[in-house]
Amino acid sequence: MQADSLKILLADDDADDCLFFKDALDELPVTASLNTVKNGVELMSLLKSNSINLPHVLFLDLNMPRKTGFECLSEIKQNENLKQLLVIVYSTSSNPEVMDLLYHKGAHYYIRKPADFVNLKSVIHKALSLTVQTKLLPPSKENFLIQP
Amino acid sequence: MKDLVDNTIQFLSAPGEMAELTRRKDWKATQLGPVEEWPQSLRTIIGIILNSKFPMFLWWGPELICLYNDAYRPSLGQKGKHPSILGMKAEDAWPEIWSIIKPLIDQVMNGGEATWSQDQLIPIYRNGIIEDVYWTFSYSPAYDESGKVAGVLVTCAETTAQVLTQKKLEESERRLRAMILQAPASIAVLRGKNHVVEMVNPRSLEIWGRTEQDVLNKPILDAMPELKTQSIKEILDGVYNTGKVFSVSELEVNIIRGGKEETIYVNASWEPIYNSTGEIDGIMAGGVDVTAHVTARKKIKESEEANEKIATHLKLATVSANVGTWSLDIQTQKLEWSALHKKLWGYDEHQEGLVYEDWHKIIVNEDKEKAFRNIEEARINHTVYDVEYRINKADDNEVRWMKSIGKYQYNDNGEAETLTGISYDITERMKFEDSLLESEQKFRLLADSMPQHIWTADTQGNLNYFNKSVFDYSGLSLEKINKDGWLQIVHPDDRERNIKEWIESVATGKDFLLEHRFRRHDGEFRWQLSRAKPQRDENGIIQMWVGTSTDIQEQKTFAEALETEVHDRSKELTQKNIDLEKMNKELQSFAYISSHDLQEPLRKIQTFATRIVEKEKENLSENGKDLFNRMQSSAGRMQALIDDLLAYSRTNTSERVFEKVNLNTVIEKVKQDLKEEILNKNAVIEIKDTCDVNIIPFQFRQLFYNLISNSLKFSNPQKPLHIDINSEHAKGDKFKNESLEGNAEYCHITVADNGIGFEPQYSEKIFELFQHLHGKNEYQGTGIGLAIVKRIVENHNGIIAAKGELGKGATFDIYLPV
Repeated sequence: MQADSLKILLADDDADDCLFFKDALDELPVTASLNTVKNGVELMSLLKSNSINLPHVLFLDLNMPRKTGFECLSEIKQNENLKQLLVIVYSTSSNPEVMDLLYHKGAHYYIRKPADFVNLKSVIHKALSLTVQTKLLPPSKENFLIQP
Repeated sequence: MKDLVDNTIQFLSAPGEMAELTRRKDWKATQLGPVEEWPQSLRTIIGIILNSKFPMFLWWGPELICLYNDAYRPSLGQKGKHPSILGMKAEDAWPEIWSIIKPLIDQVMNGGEATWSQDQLIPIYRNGIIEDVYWTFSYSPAYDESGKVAGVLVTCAETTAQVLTQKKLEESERRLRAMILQAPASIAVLRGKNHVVEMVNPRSLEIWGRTEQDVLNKPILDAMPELKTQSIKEILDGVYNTGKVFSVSELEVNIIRGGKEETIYVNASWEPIYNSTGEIDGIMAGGVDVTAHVTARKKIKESEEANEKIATHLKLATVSANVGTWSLDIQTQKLEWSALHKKLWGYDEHQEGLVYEDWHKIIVNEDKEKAFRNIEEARINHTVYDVEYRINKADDNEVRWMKSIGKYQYNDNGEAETLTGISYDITERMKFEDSLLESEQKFRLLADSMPQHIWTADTQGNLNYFNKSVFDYSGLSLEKINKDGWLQIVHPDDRERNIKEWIESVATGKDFLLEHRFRRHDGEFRWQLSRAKPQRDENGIIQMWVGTSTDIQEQKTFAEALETEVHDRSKELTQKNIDLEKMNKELQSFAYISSHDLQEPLRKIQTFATRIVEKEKENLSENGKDLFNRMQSSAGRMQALIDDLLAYSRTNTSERVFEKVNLNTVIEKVKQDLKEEILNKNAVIEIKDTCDVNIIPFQFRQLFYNLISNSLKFSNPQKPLHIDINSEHAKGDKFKNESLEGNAEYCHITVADNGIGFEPQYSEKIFELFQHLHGKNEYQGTGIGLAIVKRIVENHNGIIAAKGELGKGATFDIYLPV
């Protein structure tokens, strides 16, 4: 199981949200290792310096200092070494237009940060299951938003 | 011997110088030998010669010894050959002419015929020089006893005098001919009874209009046939036949010159020419062309006649025009007045001896100086004397206006001699002018009493009158305006336009209308409305322009103020609009950002709350749990509120991409979204007709979501919820809604439920933001849902109306233009 453990990278500047994510992940019946970066610049330098050993999935917050999630997504999808990386947007926003834009930029899934911890666990669980299932299949618009 | 001698020399006994010389001559020294030995033939010939009174000369013997008589002697002149050549050899005696006479002598000596030479030039040495001498002479042979030619007898006569006379005669004739030919008068010689032209000079040819070739050696009347009928033939024949000279002055002759008949005038005379026998054999015709002279004189005569006529006319004219004529002799002060002039001045027509004073004394005193001054000025400046003045008529003292015009005549020294002219009564005209003046004064008085500026201009557009108001307003004098122009009153910025418009009006005759500013005496510029109209005569020709300028400063100020105010207001409104829009945008972005940013802490509160409930549930009392639920419920409501607010603000900002969509597909999706609630309420949604509409799909999804949620929310617990959705196309006037346009096509969408409904008076209020008709606890809601619906409909340029009946249900009518 250890060998199969999912490598999860979370990019979020909000310490509370990072804590919720970790708590939720801990309570889920999955074996995963979580790495956290606090902003887009940190994220990109980490990914570029470690492109052979990429995480299985990146949970990307949009509203980050120094470099936003949008910018990071664009860079990842334009980088030959990184474009295969599964990106799940993890944001407070529920704006359909923003979601549209992200879909077109190449994000696989979209999670709206839930208010309820139970729901949080639920969406993370679903996201991880989808990560394993879909692997690197192209995302579909209908299933873009992961709901609790 | 003596006898012999005497006897022998008897032939020399003739008297005279040459006989003497011959006798005395020592002939022994000559070839002839002593006289006593001379042959009889010689003696005989000498005897004849010496006794002849005709000039004779003899060359005798082989040596041709010279012998001659007294008659010949003068031919030898003084200081010449005489007497030395007596007994000399011919060759020695006549060396200068030897070459001429030798052949003649030889001819005779050789037995030829005697010679005859007439007027032969044989120059000889005499009188100390070689003289040209003309001779008529004959050389004849002289025979000796044997009948042989022994000498040459020369009988001769010197004809030098005759020849020279003849030559002089010829020369004078040649000169005469040349003179005739070159004479300025025309001269011609006609010969014979047919008057053949023998000679004609160029001047004659000129007069005759012929060439020499035309007339020379032809009878003149043949050469100039036009003369035959003009008594010329009679004159010529008369002179030829009677020998009487015929002279005539200014004879009119018609001559054909270059094919045209011309009348000329000549002074001519014809004189007979006599031949040597005293018979008339020709006519000398002389003449001078005096045509120019005659024509000029005729013209002068004609013009004199014309002048006389004019004078007569003038006299008639002056009388009929009531114009008197006069002439003043400066020296004597005598006045010549025509009868009419006297009458005009009140003098008797027949009064004589009038002088300057008679004129001057009846001029009214005020005008005396003027009349006198004008006379003096005209004299000094050589100008026309022209004056208007009044007189008291000499007879009845009546005052009359008179006009006198005159001109000085000066003598060669430049002194004025006479002043001549005319005078006439202008009283009527002056009266008319007075009345004009009076009416103009009235006009001016009127104009000056007007508050407006009044001005006039001539046809060229030159302003020539301003009323008092102009001077009062501008503070300028007429002189100042005349000097620097009226334009100085106009504001500098208005001048160009002013000139342009004025020139345009003057050129076209169109009314002048302009608003411009005039400078007041205190320097303030005030707006004026100026109008000018052309005054036309009965033919429509412009005579002058009359213009007015009215102060419109108040109106202008008011209008300007109004304009400024309107301008400011609209500017303000525009600004407000911009501000409002900006504010609206700010509000929207504020609503969006704030609600977005509000969500974070709210979400965390909720998350923390769920964590506590989950983990610390056992540690909470029942009361604590209840309070905790309430807190969570409030947080939930707040989240709903934020979500709706976000949705509401997004309806305005989102991109509006219209698509043709069937409503049914939109409704089906909403039904899917609300699947659970529909199930929970046991609701039935009945979709009747649906049509294709041009909409922003996600907004309409929101619209139906909100409407159906609304029906679900306000369903009647007593009866199962039933929602009817219908749509149809129709013209606006079919629907009972006054906001719709009758002719326009609409899609009418109806959503009707059988829920709790609402009181009809709330049918408008229901769409306002945050409106709650029901208690929060009974029916959850943010009061934003229907506001969003209304906004979406408006985004589609549509209209929404709500009908409600409490306890029976609510119906929403949506009209979208197609």
